Amino acid sequence: MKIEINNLSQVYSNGKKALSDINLEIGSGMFGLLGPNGAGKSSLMRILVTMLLPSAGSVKIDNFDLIKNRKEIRQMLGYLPQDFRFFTKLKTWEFLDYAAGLSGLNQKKVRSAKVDEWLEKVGLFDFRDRDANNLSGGMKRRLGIAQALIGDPKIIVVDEPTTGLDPEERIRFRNILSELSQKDVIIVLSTHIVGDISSGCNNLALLNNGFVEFTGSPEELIAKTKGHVWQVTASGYEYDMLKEKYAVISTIPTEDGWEVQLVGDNIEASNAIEIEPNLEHAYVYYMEHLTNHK
Amino acid sequence: MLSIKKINTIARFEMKTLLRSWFFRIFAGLSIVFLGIFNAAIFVESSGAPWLYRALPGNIAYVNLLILNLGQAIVAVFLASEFLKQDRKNDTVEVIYARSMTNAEYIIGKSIGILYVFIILNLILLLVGIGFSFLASDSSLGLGQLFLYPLLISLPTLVFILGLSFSMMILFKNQAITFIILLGYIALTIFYLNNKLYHLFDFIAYTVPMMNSEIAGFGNLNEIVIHRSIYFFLGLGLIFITIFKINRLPQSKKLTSLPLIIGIIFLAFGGVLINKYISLKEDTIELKQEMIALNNQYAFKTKVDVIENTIVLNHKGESIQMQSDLIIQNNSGTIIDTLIFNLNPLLKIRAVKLDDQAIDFVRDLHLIRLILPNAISELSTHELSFDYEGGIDERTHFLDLDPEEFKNDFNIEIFRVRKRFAYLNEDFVCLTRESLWYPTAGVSYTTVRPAYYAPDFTNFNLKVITSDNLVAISQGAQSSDAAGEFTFEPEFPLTQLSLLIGDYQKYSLTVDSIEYGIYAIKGNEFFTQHFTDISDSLPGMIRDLKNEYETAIGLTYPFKRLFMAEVPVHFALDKHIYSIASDAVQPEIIFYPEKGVTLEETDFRSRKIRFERRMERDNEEVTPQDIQERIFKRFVRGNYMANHQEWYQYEEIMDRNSFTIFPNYYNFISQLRSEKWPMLDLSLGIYLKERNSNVVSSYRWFFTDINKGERINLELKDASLQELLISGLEIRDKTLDFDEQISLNDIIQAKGDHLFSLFRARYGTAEFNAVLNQFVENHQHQSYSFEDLNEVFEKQFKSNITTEIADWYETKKLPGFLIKDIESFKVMDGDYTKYQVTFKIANPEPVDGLITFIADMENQETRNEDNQVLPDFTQKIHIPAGKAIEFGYIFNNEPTRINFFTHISENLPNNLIYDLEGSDDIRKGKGFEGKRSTEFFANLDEPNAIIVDNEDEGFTYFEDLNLSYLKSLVDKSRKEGYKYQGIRWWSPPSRWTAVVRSGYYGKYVRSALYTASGEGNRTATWNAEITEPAYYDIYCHIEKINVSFRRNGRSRNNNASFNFRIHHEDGIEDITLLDKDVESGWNYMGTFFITPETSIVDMTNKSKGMMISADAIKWIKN
Repeated sequence: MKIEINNLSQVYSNGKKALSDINLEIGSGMFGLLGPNGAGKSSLMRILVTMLLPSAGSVKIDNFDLIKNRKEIRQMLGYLPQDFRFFTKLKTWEFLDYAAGLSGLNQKKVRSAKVDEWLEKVGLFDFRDRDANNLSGGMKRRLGIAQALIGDPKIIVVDEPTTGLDPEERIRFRNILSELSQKDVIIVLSTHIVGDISSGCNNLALLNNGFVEFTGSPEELIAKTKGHVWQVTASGYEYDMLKEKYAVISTIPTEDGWEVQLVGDNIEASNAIEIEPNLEHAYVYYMEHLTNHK
Repeated sequence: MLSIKKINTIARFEMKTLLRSWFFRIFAGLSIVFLGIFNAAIFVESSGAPWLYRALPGNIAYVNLLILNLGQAIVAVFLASEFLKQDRKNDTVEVIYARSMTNAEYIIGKSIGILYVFIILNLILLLVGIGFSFLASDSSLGLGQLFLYPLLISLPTLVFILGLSFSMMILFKNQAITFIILLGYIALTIFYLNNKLYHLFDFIAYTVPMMNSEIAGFGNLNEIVIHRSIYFFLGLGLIFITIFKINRLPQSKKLTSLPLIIGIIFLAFGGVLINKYISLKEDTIELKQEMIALNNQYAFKTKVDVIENTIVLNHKGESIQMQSDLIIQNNSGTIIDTLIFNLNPLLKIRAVKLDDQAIDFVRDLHLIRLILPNAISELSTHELSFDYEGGIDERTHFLDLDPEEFKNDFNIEIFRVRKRFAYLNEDFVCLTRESLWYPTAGVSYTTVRPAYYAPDFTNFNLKVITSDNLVAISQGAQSSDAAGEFTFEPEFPLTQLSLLIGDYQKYSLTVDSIEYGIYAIKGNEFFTQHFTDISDSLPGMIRDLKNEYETAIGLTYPFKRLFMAEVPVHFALDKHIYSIASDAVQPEIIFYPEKGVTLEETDFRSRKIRFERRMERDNEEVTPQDIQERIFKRFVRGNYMANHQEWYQYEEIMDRNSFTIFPNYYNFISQLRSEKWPMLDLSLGIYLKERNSNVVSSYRWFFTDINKGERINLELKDASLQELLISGLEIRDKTLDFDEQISLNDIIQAKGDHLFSLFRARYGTAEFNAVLNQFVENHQHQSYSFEDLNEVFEKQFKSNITTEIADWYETKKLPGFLIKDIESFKVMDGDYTKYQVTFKIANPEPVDGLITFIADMENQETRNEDNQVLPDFTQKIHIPAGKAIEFGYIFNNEPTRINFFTHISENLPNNLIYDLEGSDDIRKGKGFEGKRSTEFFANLDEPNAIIVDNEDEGFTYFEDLNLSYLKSLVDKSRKEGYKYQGIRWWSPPSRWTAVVRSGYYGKYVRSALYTASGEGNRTATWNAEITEPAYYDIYCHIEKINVSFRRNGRSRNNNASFNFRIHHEDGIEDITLLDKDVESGWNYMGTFFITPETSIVDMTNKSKGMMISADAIKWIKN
């Protein structure tokens, strides 16, 4: 099972180009779409969930064309949008029941069992009779993922799922997704939070200004950054100089000044020590360094 | 294909959501509470709710849904636009949009969800209504029909308003704009469009006639279904267009245009239905016009008289099969080569035979032209038979009412009722002469001989064969050989025959050889329980009532029987141009609307409770029998013996004569036939009916519009009766209520009554009436000519009235009355003090006039049997043309007020009121009683006075027409009406508006212009023609108006001031008169030197009061 995106572009009526000639191949497992706000992630997601008609290009999902075969594709979809906050007057279980009904679970008994199962899975069973509108932000997001997954979709599209969640909820959420990614499904996860990707994505794409900057596994991304991540001990004055020149990832105050981690090529600092990069370093390297210095 | 399961899922959750929304809950809660209270109130005896509601409680469900429908239309707009708004704003909805479903499934599911919740609410309110109808023991309407109401009222409205709201939301993409536009549309529909184009625009169904009869169901279900389907399909069309336009990518690329195509098909189907609906309505008008045109073509064709008509009617479900054997006679004085007969167009003729020989005929709509082998010679008699079968086209009825103004529905309370003129159902039949169910000779109504109605006096014999369980009712002695077979043999010739067939129960008794009875539809005999104690006294009561009525009208009942027979509430109460009563009054039979809902006093239970309460209050001991007797008498008097002034509840659909028994005393047994003056028959009839009635409406509430009589006078000033009959009466003010509108019938009645009342005043009441009574007695069961009547006048009164009648018919001139020298003082009659009133009346016009003098005495109030106030003293006075007469009256009690009711005359208002101030003046002598000639006078002004009245050319006015657009629209619609309006003190007009009032100045027309007080932007100017410069005393004429709800309350206009500007040689003098300081009448303003250039007085509307009026100014040379 895979999603093939070929030469996909999206230009809005106001002339804004959201996506430029995107080519991607997404296989089973969790696929991360990483990029800053406004990079085009949501546009791509909305195209994938048939909410938006692309200006050009094609998307194929298991040989189904996204434009011609919306029915079949929608049957495979589970979607959790970014702004999943407002509900009409439904209880938690009812909302899930509604989603289950729409996903084709017509038999009441089967549907009820599924609803309860998912409520259990996302830890909302105790809150099943609470108005969905009165759930906390994290609970709402869990309800969101439950409704997206309740019909056993083959493709799950999750847009910025951890924004605004506290660390505990965020971890819980990532775990749910990681668990899911073990099954034969495609999870497309869009985020600007690197941690979401690092916790389970097999592959990812880096989007910036509508362009794909990188596709591959997180390890490949990290590998590409090797030799460009440094740790420097700097005085106050030196720190200011470094900030001007390089993308600083972290700064830890020490007795002599600052211990600074930064990315860049040919660091002009005598005490710079090359360190092993992680995904965050890689993201920053790509976003802040590569794109700014192209 | 659409997935029902998906639609159902969406609908289910939409319904759940709506049921939980506070907006809907509050609306639903308020609706249930409000309508529940309303329903309960109807069944509380003391609520005063009309009998109609309790008599036909099945219709409560109709009312509930009608009231609810407006509310739900508005709420549906909000809910429909709300979900599209939410859909556009919330990403949450995208989790739904991303699901596999078509746009059609989604929108249809949403729509059905909204419909579900409203249907639940509708069913609750329907059940509330049904619950109350069970409570009312009088109900018998089947429940099945009630469930049609939600389908006919709510469903089309909701589907339409949902479709409209969705499509507006898609178009404007803004809920507020959509809401405002649609609210405006709803308001426009309710307040303006709903009566246009046969109620086509009334999507809420307020004016769609859906009242249900327990006897015969809906008035016209076909029309209702078409009307409601229009909105249902337009709504569906708009919903499908919404599906096409919704901001969600369609499920399938293949059929994206399908919703648009379906939408257009639905809209087009709606359009076809609109066309069908309008054609249905316009076809009625066209058919009527075609029938009239056809009648006109043969209007003067000589006809035979139908002497006998033996009818056999076989009632076969919704058709009748008939054999009608006539004996015809040629009394025309000439030979006849073509016979013209009338028969309902839906009755198909199978054969016509003349003297047993089949003859050819030509059928054209309702007319049958018989092609005769030989001409019919003078005075010959022949047998003519018609064999025919078919249905009844109701459009043949009432051709004499202007087809353009024809209305086939009416309102009773909140109910809209479709008029029915005839019924031919399986279990109910109602046919009158107008249904043309048996052949009649000649043509019916023609515009070339308006008001000409000359039916033959025919000896009928009717045999009816119908279902075994049904009962037939018609004129004549009834016999029944077998179940479902009835024979009717009237004792003497009749002008018309009617037939009712239904599941009737008969109650009757015979008093003095006359059988009196009621035919009530089984299940509707509610009245029996209210009259359980009067079976012994009933014959006596009936005898007394009959005597009472016959004494009043001076005629004797000629028939052997009198029945009341129940018909559906839909039965039309229209009145022919030539009739006194409605078609509900038939020879020997008076149709009554089911359970008597539009009759007076039929709510016997409430009436009994009111009687009992009153008696309890007055400590009166009365037996149940007494109460029942009173109720019975009141019922009979109020409905069948009512006089023209009696109050009536449903003035909008009938008048006081709609059910009068009177035609049975005159119109059905005799007829004055005149080619030249056909309306004389109605004139004589109305005179006979009203000649002994003294009730006069002398209590005009001062702010009402000009009354019906005054409107008739205004019409007669513009056109003679002849002209009006030829050109028809133009409805001047369509905003007036039905009971305020005047018809040609009203004008003929007023003119006719006036004519014969004049004769009476001229020839003496007793003598004239005795002569007329004898004349009518001598002409029973036949027609007579004008010449016959004139002969009597010549013989008895030595007077040929031909010229006078011609003048009466052709002249536009009206009498005019001037009254002066009204004096009241005391005189001594032996030891007794008596009260003398004298006055002089002149009629300077060239037409004789009639005036009714009325005097009200101090501390005296006279009431008749029906509790109507009678004047303490009244006398009709004849004032010949160009004459002045002085009158003197002596009363035992002191008169406090005298009125002169001027009938048909130039005078406006037609009721001149003079309050008499108690006088201590005692004059010697016995006083003067009677009349004597006096010096003729043609005006009431001083000889040297120069007066400019608001009606004169020298009077002009100015008004700043800076009106708001809306106000100008309102004013524009008013302009079409009559020149004079009523004084609306609570909201005086922003323009100078003409009003009449007894206290204003004027020769005949006592009028003024009035307007709201203001800053002086409206002025009135009196410009006199003064040729001689001199000192003049200047007066203004003022009528003080007590603006107060209470009779003796403080006037709310007493801080008004009159700001005059008097022009004189030295400039302009401002004079301010305060309302509280002036007297009604002429008020002196000062003496000034006036030249021809300065003979002007101005007044502005600057005043602190509520309103100001401009009447007349007088200059008197010193």
